[in-house]
Amino acid sequence: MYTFQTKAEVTQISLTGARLIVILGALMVAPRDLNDLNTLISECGLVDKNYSNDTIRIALSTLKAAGCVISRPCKATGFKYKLISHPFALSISEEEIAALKSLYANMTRGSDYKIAVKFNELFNTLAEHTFNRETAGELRNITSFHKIEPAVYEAILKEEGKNNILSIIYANPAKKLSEKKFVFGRIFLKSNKLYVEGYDLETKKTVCYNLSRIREVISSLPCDAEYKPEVYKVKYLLKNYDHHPIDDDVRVEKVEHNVATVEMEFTNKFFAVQHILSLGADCTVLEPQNIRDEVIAKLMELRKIYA
Amino acid sequence: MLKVNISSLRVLQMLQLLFEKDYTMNELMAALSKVSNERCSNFLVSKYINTCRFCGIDIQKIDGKYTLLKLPFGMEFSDDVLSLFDEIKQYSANMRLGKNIRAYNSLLSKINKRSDRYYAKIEPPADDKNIQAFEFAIENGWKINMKLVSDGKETSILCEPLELSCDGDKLVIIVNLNGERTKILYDDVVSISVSDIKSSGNILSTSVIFRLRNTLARRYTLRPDEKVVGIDDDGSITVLNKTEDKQSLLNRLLKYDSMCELVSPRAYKKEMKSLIDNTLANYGK
Repeated sequence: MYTFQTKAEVTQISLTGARLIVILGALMVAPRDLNDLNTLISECGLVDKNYSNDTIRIALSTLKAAGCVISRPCKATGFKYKLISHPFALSISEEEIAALKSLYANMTRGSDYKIAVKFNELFNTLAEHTFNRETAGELRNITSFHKIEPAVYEAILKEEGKNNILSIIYANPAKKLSEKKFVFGRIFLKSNKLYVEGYDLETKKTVCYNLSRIREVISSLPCDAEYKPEVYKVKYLLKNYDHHPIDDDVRVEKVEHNVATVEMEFTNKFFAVQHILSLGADCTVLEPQNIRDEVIAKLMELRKIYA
Repeated sequence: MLKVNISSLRVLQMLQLLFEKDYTMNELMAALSKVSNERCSNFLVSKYINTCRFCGIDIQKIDGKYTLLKLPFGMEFSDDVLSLFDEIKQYSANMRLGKNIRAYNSLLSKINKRSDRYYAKIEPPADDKNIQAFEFAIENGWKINMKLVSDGKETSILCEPLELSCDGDKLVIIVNLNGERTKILYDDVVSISVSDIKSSGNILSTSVIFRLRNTLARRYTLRPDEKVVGIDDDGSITVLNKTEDKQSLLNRLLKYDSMCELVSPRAYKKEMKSLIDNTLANYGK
């Protein structure tokens, strides 16, 4: 942890100051008792002798005087001193949080979840290093992954690249629990939520589950059959082409007078229809007919609502 | 009364000052004297700096100022997060989000001071006079004159600048145009100049209310600045949204099909109706 210079390299130092920095650094890493701290100081080669417990206690009092909050040794901490907060912690301004939110929102527009997972880890690390609860909460809430059971999050992310049959306990929107069994396909991100997609061996259909509703991953067993998702190819005309962000999974066939002929692949019909509707009057579905009909039917229903 | 060691307390107090900003020796002496209520000489401050350096805390004199560069026992990031820093740098290279880049770089400076590694900042974008004018107008509360071109037609508008943002790989500017939060594609901007008219300073808030039904009401995740203002017996929820720009909001609500109904304002309902009619017209309906 420390790379002490030899005493020859420095003209003047405060040994008590150096001792305090060692203790601060040690407490930043983990809770410690007086013996741990004493051992650490002598292992560092800072001094050749052991300090008395009183000397270490004075150092701890000095840390408190500098603004550190250190808990008393108790059963919960294994009778060790625990650094609750310190004045050197990261403080993150509103502008900095806004910049992180903006980067996250813009860089996670596609369905690739991996970058969102990395952002989630960054936000959690930053939250751990700021002692401001409000800031930490705001950072952890940028992604919606805090709503996912940690064990489920870990278990599902580990499935990537494997061809396993998963059994899960799933809570539907009405919070009714049921067991689901499917061949793992892929993980994807949609509207800042993580989903797992797979193939239900019983219904022979592609299924998709929101990770925040998975209560438990019961088992993960190897599967002989390879899962091939049902793919919907939707071809549509897109007006004002240069005004629309184009995702990676979109193939632009041609563009004439700012009108593009686009082909997009979906494995989930619900999301396909949602995407098309969100493009509003700029989009006209060309094929397949069933998606075209579904879009028209939904728009006709909406027309009645706003009549 | 706690028994403390004054010399080591001063070392920590000086370290705390260096976490906040860089100091010349004279500034550091003055700041530490103020914090400690006693005169701190050049000799003492040098001794404290040497103590920190002795413990591996990297303090360098850069442009005449003592600068804290590394802490050997601070923040550590996983390989995934390290690769994310690179991806952010790459992504931002083509973006001209001046304010956000400055804020991100400022955060990285703080992280660098609390870590034993150096995380490279994003290069500020090349000078863009339009962006500079836009940000100047926001900071100083002026309206802007903006020339836009769309489908070959040029138009001029007077509006209040709100923020720079991205829409996928496209830079967009958000303005208050006639009381509505409006998103404009930066590629459509010909020029931006600061007007001599002060911004109203009013926080723009068009209160939009919509109702969500069925499963959508149960699975809907509120956006930032959205709140539920009503719950019906059948489980439907009424949501208030104040900050989303009109076009994005209408298109987003449209995708929820009949599970969502815009309740107010009347002007938005009218536009939603037009949006539905225009979309159906694409299919000859």
